[in-house]
Amino acid sequence: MNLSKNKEMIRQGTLVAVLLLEIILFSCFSPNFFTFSNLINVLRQISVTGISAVGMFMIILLGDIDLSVGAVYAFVGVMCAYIFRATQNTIVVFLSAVAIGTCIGVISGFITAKGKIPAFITTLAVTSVCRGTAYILTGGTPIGISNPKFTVFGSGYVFSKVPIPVIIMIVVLAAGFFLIGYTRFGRYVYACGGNGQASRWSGINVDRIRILVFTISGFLCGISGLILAGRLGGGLPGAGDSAEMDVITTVVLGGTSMSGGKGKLWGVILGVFVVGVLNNGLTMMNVSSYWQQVVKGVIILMAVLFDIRASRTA
Amino acid sequence: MSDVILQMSNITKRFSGVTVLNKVNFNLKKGEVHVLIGENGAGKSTLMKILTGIHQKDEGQILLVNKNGELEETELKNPVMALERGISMVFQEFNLMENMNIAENICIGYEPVKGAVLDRKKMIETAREQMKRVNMEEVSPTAIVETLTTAQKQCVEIAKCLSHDARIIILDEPTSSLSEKEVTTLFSLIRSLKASGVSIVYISHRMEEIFEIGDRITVFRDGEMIDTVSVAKTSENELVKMIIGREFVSDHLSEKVVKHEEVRLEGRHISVGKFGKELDFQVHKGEILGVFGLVGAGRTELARMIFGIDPIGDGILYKDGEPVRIANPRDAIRLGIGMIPEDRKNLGLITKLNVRDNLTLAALKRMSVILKSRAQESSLTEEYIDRLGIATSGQQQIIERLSGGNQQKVVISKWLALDLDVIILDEPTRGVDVGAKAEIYAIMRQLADEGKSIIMISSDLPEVLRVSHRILVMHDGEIKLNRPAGTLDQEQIMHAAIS
Repeated sequence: MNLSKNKEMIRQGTLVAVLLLEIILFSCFSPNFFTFSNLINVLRQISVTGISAVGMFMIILLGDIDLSVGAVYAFVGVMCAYIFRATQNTIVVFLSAVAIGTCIGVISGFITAKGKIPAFITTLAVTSVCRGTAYILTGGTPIGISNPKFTVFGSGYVFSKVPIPVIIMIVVLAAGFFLIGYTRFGRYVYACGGNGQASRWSGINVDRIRILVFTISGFLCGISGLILAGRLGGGLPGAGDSAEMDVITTVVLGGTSMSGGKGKLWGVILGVFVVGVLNNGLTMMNVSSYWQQVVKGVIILMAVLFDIRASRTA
Repeated sequence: MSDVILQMSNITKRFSGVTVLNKVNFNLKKGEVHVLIGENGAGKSTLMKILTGIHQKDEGQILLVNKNGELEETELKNPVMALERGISMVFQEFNLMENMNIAENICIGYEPVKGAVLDRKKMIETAREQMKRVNMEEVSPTAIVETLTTAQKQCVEIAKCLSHDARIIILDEPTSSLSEKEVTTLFSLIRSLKASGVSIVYISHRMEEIFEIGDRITVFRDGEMIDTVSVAKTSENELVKMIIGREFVSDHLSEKVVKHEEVRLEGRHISVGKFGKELDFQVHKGEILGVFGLVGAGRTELARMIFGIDPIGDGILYKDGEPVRIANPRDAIRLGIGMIPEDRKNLGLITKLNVRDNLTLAALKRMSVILKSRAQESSLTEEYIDRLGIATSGQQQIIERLSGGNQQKVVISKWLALDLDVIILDEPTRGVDVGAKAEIYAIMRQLADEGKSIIMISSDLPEVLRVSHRILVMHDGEIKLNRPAGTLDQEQIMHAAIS
């Protein structure tokens, strides 16, 4: 136990060190990096990924994966843009986003659990349907909305300093900690991911846990999708392209085992920051987004290698 | 002693500072079956892993006979070096590629080639030759391993050893998943290997076997070699004493006459497996019902139906006189029925989680509505660690690091914490050492005294006779015998089980 705890500490310690290193390097190379407005900006940039990461974390804890995140963003964004045009109501739009995301989650979860289909396949299919529908509905052109009652989710502020998406992210993270660490449900997620058969033998309704996890994840993706639409100023059918990769990167980087049953939300949050700061810093240094992708790819490989090495020495 | 082919002297091994083998001596003679016995964690597996090059010794010397018949010091730095020196091991859960055929498995790593191309003909020839030595002529070398029985897979493993010209073959609990008949076949194979000069190291917990097949026995306890004795010159009681380090009190429960009248659980018209026959059974309050039968008799299938893992079909279950429907384990638990599966690792435990998380997993539902209470979980865990004497470094110990017996106690605790009426135990003492076995029996008895009903499935005849109040014997999905344990002896039971 001490061994595995130490390992966990080393892992989190490494992430903190990497984060600090990033901050120091970027501060040296870019004078605008370490400013209040940019740091708030970083928080806002990571909020979309950060919120979805809580859901993805639970899905990966189950030993599953969700590839539909980016497509769900696009679908939710487009739908919300239409709904806003029709209603002009902030609350209705928010509720719609959440409802659409949740529905998609229920569907993915239900098909995966009851149909005994790998989540990889289910969510790949959902990706295709959502992205396709988004393009059909819009005919490929963005639904631009500049009304602040819509964009407030992406670029609004509370007390004119703190961005609304950051507030939402903090609430979601707190709820995530509570759910994973203090409820029966949280324990069951670890149990089902660790050994689904044994969980069933212990009287746990494994299918229901799986559906619930996908539902929660869909709910969170709905929120993320709306925030993204707010930041982009409307519903874009191409929004969130390969966003799931960012989310998966942060979760894996945070030490969550892809085979399920092992991981800590703290690690995931660190992962979100490491990737977020990296993206922001590289942008500030005028590194092209293509290069950023390459860097992210290398990081995810390194994280997984580290994980495998660490579990071997245990 | 000129016939000694292996001499391991003063072998010491430490894992992160903990001494697991302390100055152990062991020697092996040509053509003998040398049994290693000892509780789990006593050091037998570690010693064998050193011999096969999986682990490296910290201190000591390994002498192996060379071509001239003289003992010579050898380094076994990795499994390949051990293989090349004629040392092979057959693991309990085998090392076969299930998706490949027998010939490919036997030749793996040493495939014959013609230039750069695999020489399939030669491969099949080699395989056929080795399969003949293990009496597998009737099976095609191109049969896929997946389709073989456990006994056949074991023979493939042994054939693989022989293809490396093994002089020493280590068999780790080779009979643990074999039927009576298969054991007999294995033993005749072992005898023929002996006759051809191969030495066998035989790790086992089963006393009867040891006396049947063994020549010499080495007993391990707590990382030390206690003694090496000749089978002819020892007795079961003496061995048990050496293994546990104290006198073993064997008490028979069947002498106690108890009347069990109130029916707790009853099954009618239950059709088990593919036999197409129906059976009825009853379990009473406060009773330990021993269910005996050979592998494949339908015992586990019956238990799985009661616990809601498999559909019960047209069968009807009555709990306390009321007909009940059990569609899944949740229903069973709600009705007060729990099951401790034979396959601890895959069905009983979540090995990535710690002792506390595993122990409270089923009870969590009763303890909390939504929120869970760390304090309540801890006190419950503490209670059972105490009550069952679970040897763990703490509640947060990861399950993987516990011994088999202690893992089993955690699984049992998981169900005890729920205060159930009926507990089904499928082979509760398999892979569990002698000391823990006695403790598990005591727990079962205590539960029965508290008025709970216990269904114990076991292939261990003395165990069934010793622990049960009443015994059911199953064969091909039918109940062949249903009598109080006190009125039965081993012969009657075995007779019912095979006919």
